[in-house]
Amino acid sequence: MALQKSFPRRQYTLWTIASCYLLAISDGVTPQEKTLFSTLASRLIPLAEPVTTAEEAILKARVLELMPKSDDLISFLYDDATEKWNNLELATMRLEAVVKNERWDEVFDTSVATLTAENRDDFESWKQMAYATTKLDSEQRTKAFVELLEKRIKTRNGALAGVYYASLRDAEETFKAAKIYFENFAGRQCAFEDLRPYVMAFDVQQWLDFVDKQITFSTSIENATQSEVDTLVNARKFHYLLAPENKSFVDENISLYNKLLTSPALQDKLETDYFYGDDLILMAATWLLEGRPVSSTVPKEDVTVAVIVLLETAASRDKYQIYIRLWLTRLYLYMGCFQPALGHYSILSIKNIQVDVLSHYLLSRVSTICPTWKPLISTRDIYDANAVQTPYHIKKVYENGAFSQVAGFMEFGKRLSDSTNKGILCVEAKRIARILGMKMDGLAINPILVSTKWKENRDFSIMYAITRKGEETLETKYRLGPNQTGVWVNAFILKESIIDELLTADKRREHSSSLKDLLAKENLETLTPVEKWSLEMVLQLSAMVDSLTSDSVTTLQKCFTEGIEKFTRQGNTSLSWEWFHLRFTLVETAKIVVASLDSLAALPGVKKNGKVVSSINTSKKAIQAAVDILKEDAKKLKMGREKRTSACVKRISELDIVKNLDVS
Amino acid sequence: MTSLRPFHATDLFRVNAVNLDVLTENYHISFYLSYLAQWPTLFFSTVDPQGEITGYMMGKTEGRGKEWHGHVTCLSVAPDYRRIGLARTLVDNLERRSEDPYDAYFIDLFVRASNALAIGMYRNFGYSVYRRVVGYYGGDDTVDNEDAFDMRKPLKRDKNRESIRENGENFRVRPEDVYL
Repeated sequence: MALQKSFPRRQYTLWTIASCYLLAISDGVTPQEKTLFSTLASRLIPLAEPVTTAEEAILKARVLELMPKSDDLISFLYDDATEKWNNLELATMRLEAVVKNERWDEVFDTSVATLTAENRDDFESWKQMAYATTKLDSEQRTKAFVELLEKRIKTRNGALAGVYYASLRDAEETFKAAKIYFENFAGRQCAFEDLRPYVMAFDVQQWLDFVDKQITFSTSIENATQSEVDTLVNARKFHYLLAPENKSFVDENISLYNKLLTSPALQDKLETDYFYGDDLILMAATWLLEGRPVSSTVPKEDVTVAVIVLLETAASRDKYQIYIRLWLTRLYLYMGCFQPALGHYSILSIKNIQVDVLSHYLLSRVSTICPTWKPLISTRDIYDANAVQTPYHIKKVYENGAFSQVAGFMEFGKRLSDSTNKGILCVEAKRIARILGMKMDGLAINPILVSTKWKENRDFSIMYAITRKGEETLETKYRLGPNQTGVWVNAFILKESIIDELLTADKRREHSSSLKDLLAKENLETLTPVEKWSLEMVLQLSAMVDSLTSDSVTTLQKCFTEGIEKFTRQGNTSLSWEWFHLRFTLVETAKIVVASLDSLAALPGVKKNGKVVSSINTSKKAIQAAVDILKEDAKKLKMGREKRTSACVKRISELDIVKNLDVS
Repeated sequence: MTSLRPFHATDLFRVNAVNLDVLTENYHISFYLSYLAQWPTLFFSTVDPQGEITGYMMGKTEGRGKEWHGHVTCLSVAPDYRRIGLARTLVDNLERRSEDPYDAYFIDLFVRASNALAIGMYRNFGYSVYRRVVGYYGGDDTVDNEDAFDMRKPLKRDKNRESIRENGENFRVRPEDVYL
């Protein structure tokens, strides 16, 4: 604004308008400030008129969007001078504005123009045109819409628009329209997802009978073409969704998959292509994981391994099938097998921005499942890059006048900077360093502070599943503990801060009181029981340091060793992520306590107090003894691994689903 | 169901179904941001009705005089949404935008000489091989040195179709001869 006032160049005026717009839409301003900045932006617009680029037009439109009345916005968007830019963003805003204001005549006419005059086959236009038709309820409009629909019924968007339009009116019509769509597009992988929103309202048996009739093979299933495979798989997906009690589903899918192994769709594909037939195995896998009925029982303790066998078999034939790899990563981790999980995760080649969104599939709670530093090494790059590159490119956006991008860049930068995953990785790096006894300076992601603004960027929906609305997702069911939210991050940042205070004999205790508040007030579902205990132990340690006596040291030690005993008595005796998580958390907490006691004992004031020093030494021995028992138990379990594995392999290989799978 | 949408920086959090594909490169964020800052009109996506991104196009313009053209930098479609014309929709839109507002003479792209599938697809879209860039794909320790085909399609401004030629597969150039 200062620039604009001092040097009234048009460019600076536009920058000021953009900045006022950003302030008006920002989270950090009051409603009064929002009004102030949006009004300021709108008053500056005439100084920059006429607009000379589509980007300037978009900026003006965005400012007008903030105004209480939308007439100016709609007039501007429909003005010939604006339409001449032929800009996708302006076209999108145009339709959105008239839909939002329920100006159905304009919705209808705009959509027709997009679909015919502009010849742009846009589903959103179809959808709004269909909706406007029902709202207008005019014979002329309905006739025009139906005519256009009939002309374009063989196109995917047209056929789906027909289904959508029918769904606004009549269940029977929807069924008919869905049949027309499926008859034309069953041989495309998208067909199931396209129709899924509508089929729950259908007569299940009628629909399943119909889709099954669409499955045909020109020669045989063993020679199925890609299109024939796609139709088959789509049909099976509807069975999965609509007939969850079919005990034969898994056997049928495995049998169909076996028959497709010789098909050209699999045999002739490139290594980097997808074989849609894999979905038959993925469906069998998720059916078992969901605990749905099967014709021959799989014992609960063997389900995960049995599913892994299915998926590994499919993966051996289709290396780059991402959904199989994601499930294998998850299931191996679920069993506490980090290395195989890492192997599958590595094939996905997750890097750059994907680290923020997808690395949680490997690195959730990694410090207490398999504390290892290598997978963490590159994770800081994306956050470092954001700190430098995003501000640089925001400057470029201003310089280039790319105003349509300015809000997105700001939001992108903030979301990465305040990413929950970033917070989690920073904490995990520190914890891994502690457990392994190494310096992790190269991994430190700084600065990392308690925040109320953690941004959730992680993608939890990419895992393959056919879930009904309202049901818990399989990804949630097989997650490694509760979701680590911003509360988790804050709790562990505070824990790390308290530890730093303790080890440096820093007398400040603000972090202890903040952690106490957090544990008292926040929703702690994000923590596992042992994580909560570990946080409470650190608080107790901090309190003990403040009122240091030999008794307080002994009390702390007793509390700690009782905690170890309690946790190791409960829970699994077999290897699983929980088994590792529990024990690594206990060991980590032990290290924190011992290191703090060592730090205390070295203080001049404490050294002189023989009783306290003696208590510290006794406590350290007791804690070390408890940890030694933990390690001894772990060793025994490890030694018994081969015997347990042989027993498991024997059981698994006798399961019908495994015996029926063609592994040749 | 396909709708075209402009691409914004925050969409980078939402392209996993597309970018997990082994053949789709995941660039550094600066690469994506530089395209959005310079050619916002030429970076757009296809979405399904739930707003999930099913494919996207990264394009740019470059060149001088009669070499002024639109370029396909990255075109990718999620595996579940292939064979339904999304690539065509994305390429068509790039062609439209390259004509108006950029007034380009032609569109071009580079494709591996061995990628018969992609070459066939672009031929169906009206593209032809203009030249063979010898050793264009090289310097990567996971992939062998390979030639690229520079494929082109003339736009309205190229009335005499000077931007294309016959038998471009046999017209060999070095990477340094290519306008970048």
